[in-house]
Amino acid sequence: MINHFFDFMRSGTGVSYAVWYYPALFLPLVLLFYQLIPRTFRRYVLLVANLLFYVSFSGLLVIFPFLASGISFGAGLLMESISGNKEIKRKERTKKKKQVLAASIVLLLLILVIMKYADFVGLTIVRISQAFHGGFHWNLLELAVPVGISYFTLESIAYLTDVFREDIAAEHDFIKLLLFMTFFPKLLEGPISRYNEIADRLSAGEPVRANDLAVGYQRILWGLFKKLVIADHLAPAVDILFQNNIMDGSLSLAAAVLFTLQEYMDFSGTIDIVIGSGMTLGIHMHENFRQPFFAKNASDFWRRWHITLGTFFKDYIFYPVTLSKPVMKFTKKIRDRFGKYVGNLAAPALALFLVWLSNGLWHGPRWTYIFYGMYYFVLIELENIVEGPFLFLLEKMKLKETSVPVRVFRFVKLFFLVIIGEMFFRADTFSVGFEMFKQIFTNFHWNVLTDNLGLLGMDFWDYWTVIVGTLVVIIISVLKERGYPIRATLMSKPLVVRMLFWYACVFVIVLFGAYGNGYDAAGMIYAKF
Amino acid sequence: MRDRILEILQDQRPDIDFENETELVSGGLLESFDIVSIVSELDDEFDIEITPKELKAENFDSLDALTKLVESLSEE
Repeated sequence: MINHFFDFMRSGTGVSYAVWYYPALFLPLVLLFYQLIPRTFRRYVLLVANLLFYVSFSGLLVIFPFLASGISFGAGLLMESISGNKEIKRKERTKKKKQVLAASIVLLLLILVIMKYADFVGLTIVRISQAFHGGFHWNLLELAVPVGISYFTLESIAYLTDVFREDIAAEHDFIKLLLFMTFFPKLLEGPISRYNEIADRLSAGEPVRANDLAVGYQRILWGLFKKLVIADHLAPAVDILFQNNIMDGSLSLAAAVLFTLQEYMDFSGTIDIVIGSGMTLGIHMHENFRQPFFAKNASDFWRRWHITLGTFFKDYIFYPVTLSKPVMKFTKKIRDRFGKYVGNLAAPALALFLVWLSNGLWHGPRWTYIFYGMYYFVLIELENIVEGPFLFLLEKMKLKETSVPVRVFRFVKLFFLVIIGEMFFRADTFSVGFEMFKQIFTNFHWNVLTDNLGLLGMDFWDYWTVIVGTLVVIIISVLKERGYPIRATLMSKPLVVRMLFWYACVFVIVLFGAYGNGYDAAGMIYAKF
Repeated sequence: MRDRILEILQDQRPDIDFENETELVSGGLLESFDIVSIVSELDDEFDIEITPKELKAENFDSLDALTKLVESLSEE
């Protein structure tokens, strides 16, 4: 068993969250060692676990989180010492701190760009040069991307900005900062965490509590259910549909719907495992999903889907850009000239453009991702323009925003927009995505889909497992959206009932989870970003 | 000052009861676009400069908190 584990370490496959030895071996061992060791040393158990976990994926590339932590640590202390130097004027201090902040962020981004985007940038320059008949060459570097670099780079930027704003104090304990940057549950897929949210608790060495353990593992089970019972059953069908997609619009539509479902169950399920893992140690990370398909529009959707990425962009790009002096001046000019309505729409557009460009690029060096970002930029700008007239129309029609027809209309519209966005996101190239999109409207035959259901790598029972599993998730989501206390209700039942319930859950996951047949459960969609 | 701030808020979002609401941001009532508009109006009106540092829920969750923020920035 241990050999098996180390084989994975050498092969660089890593200890993914949804492989049996993560919840059943790795996490319990970490918790056991953590609990057995005296309190002051507990954080070192966590640190060793973090580093082992990291090394299992990326080997020696483990220097990168050290590097990001080192830059954050040094720049944080430097900003603090500038703040404390009362010999220079306040304005001068702010200026100097700003320089340190800018330099450290540039350095962090530079490392990220080199490791993750070098070939993309090189090839883009080649294309531009070719367009102008230039002779620029680029030898592909094909660098191995250090796992989690997109996450800990953003966390470092947030940490430094918060120190600059004096929202948090600069950290004097390097181990504490490193523990935060490399915390194994959030390393691969986030949630993108803020330093003041979890760092103290991570380092405090608090004992493991029975209740935290129970609640944490319940959450992990729920995540495993979404990931193994639903997402992984859909994986072969999604792969096939996106490989041979351009036959018919019905297949494009199925591809879009199934991939959206797979991605949601995969990503939110993994986040459940992550948050549950944190809970076992009494660490509460920020939620990353909140019933996104109940959103009323695209911007609301992004307040419910990958929440921590959205709030990162809001706090560290959107607000700083919109509130910067030149943009504020521009806003005022537009408002004075064209009135408030236009001013309020036009001014944040620039910041919004940067947010969505960053969102697209953050997912990786591909044009389809950039398109995905721009798609939401346009959607959200359009929404802002149309929302006023739409509400006016509702008033004229004497319809309330909360009425059933309006909600159904909004749901259908949003669902369609989201699946189209995901289809472009998943397609190999933009032109494949566009062809699939076109087919939905020009070449659509239901019977092509129904005739091909048997060829999608899913058998009769797979379909039923996915359908029933999805229904369970929908029911739970409706209850959560309505604020029904699901966990409290369950916990109020007698111990025997609870035990039976959790045994049944484990049984369902073991029995109905997608394993074997060479299928790689380790492939988590969001780990690659 | 409080009344003028209330006016600006109501002008931006007539549908919200600003007198009684205490979770404007943490309850998700005000969106980032609203906040940006409100900030630019407040900056203009009171000749202050609200920076991203001040854009925290605790400063924007209620009319009173916002009044306090504007007061403290006006004094500087």
